[in-house]
Amino acid sequence: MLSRRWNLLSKMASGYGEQPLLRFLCEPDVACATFVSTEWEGLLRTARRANLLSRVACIVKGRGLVEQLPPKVRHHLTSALRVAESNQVSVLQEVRKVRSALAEQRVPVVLLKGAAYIAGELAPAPGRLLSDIDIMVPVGQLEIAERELVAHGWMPTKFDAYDQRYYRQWMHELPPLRHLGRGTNLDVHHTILPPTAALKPDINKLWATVVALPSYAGVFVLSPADMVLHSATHLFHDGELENGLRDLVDMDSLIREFGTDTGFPDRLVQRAVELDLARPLFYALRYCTKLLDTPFPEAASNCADKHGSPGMLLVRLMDTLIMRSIGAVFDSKTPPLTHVAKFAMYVRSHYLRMPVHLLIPHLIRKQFSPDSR
Amino acid sequence: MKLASLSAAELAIRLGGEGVALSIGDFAICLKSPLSSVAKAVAFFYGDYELCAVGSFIDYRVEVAPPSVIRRWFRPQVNFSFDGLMPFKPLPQVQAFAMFEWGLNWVIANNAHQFLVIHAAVVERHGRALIFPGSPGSGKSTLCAALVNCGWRLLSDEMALISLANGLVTPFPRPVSLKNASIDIIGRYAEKAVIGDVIQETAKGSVAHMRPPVSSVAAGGRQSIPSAVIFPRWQAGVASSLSELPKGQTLLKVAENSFNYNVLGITGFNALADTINRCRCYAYTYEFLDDAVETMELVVQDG
Repeated sequence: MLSRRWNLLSKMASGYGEQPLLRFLCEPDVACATFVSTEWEGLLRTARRANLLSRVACIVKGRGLVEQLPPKVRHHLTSALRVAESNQVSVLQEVRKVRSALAEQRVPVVLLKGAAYIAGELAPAPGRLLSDIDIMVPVGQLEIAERELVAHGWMPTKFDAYDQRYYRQWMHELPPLRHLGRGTNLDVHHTILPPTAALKPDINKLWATVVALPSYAGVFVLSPADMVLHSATHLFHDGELENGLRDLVDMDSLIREFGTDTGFPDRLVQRAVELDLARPLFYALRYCTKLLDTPFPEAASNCADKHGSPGMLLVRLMDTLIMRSIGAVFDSKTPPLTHVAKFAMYVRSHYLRMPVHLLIPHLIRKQFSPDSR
Repeated sequence: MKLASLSAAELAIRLGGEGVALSIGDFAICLKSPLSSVAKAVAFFYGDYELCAVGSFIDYRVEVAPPSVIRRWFRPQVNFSFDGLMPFKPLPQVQAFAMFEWGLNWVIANNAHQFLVIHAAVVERHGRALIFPGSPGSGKSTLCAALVNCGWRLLSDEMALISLANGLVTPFPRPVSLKNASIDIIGRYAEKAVIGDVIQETAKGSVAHMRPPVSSVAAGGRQSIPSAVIFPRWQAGVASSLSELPKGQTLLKVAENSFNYNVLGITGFNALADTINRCRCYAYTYEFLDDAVETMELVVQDG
């Protein structure tokens, strides 16, 4: 109770505690019972910006509350439910297509993030929208996988020689592919962080614990702990925070779902240490509990602090940057300081991905090339 | 209270501040814009629309504003934003009002999936709605404008909103967008038509908007029964000719013209099949608007 109070206070200090979307995500029943028209409007608008509208709609539907809401709100949620349904259908179809493309050469496929949640029927799945399917294949079979995918209609989208070389030499994925007929995007990874990154998780350890999906032969998802760690790594060490709140909502749902097994939190922290991913886990837990009241036992949380905290000074700085970047969805106009914070996070994500002598020329080039960033 | 009851100065202040919230058909739309050209056009075209009560629920908030300070003076541009998202590249500032119209169409087509949204003009007579699906250039807006000037009710010149709940067409009456030669054709055809400034050199050529009839705006809350689906085609030197289309073929053609058929899946198919089943389906070729209006009159009386 006390920690809950503290969370609420710290959320208010961050300026976002009163946000209808956060209040809804923390306590959907209370929100549905008490929200007035302006709160619903604010919630729908923020959720749309954060790519969470379909998620909100599915939460309300899951609780059987759609019919109780004002008609105007119901229309928006009905619309968002349709989007959720069609998204789920197309993701599952795409997973089947990828599987059959790679089946002949027996390339095992690990689904990552959204596709994994949906095909694995996990807690974050209802209403989870995605624009790309992310998969991982063994590095030794990367070339075969690429050849097979191209043969089945997925074409590279970056033809620029610099981009091709950048991806192949420094990145943990192939240049993004797009299917010629269906227009769907596919990102093919061979590990979860670029080989140049400061953190060096051993990818073999992730492969050792993957879980087979019974309805899709040859298709796997990461183990529960690794799934959380990958999402955290992706959010805090490998990209911009555009879908930051959405990713936190994913992790919150995963932690709540897997947390019904009481041993899970300790295993998660241990696994983070084992994989050299204690830092991203620390951030994930910090901002999940701050913004979404994610339940996590104190002992495990302290252990995550001990192994993953970068020290109080840096944490303060990250609080400012992260809250601003993730909180950008709450403002329809981006305040100047948020631009600064987002740019800082952009530079940071690159800095974490590659050493300075590679980074500086890359950023300069991206700043001046026509369709950069 | 109608928008016309605001003075020009007050309208400009509201548009530049909190925005002006209008009731358009089933939707509450709030528009913000600091541009005086937009304020002028809004006053010209939207005077008959009801303002939403203060603090009421707004469906979509959109803004039409210059991208940066520099672009206010040097080759001025304008951006359309919706909930803080910018789906389009900026356009020259003279196209600001047209961009609001196009942007709003985009918002509905991409966000109102409680409807099957078909790219079509919809007009009504004797309580029966005619749906004119059509690719740009087919002449659906021209025919729609002509009928509206002959006392037909305008539901929309751009999209048929088929309610998934009851299969009826929900109106979304807005200024009718006329392109290129249609602008003069309608100007000559209907002296009473109120047509705004012509905007040259847009992506669609010259564009002008026609003010919707007061009665159509006032009836914006009343749904209508779809009674015929007609594919119009203007062609020089042909006689007016109406021919019945098989329902299956019509369904496929309408599905192609739907904005959100993919999103709706089986629900969309069912809604469309129900609509086609209750409608008579035609292809219609014409040269002269007088013929077209007469023929449509016959079609609607038949039903």
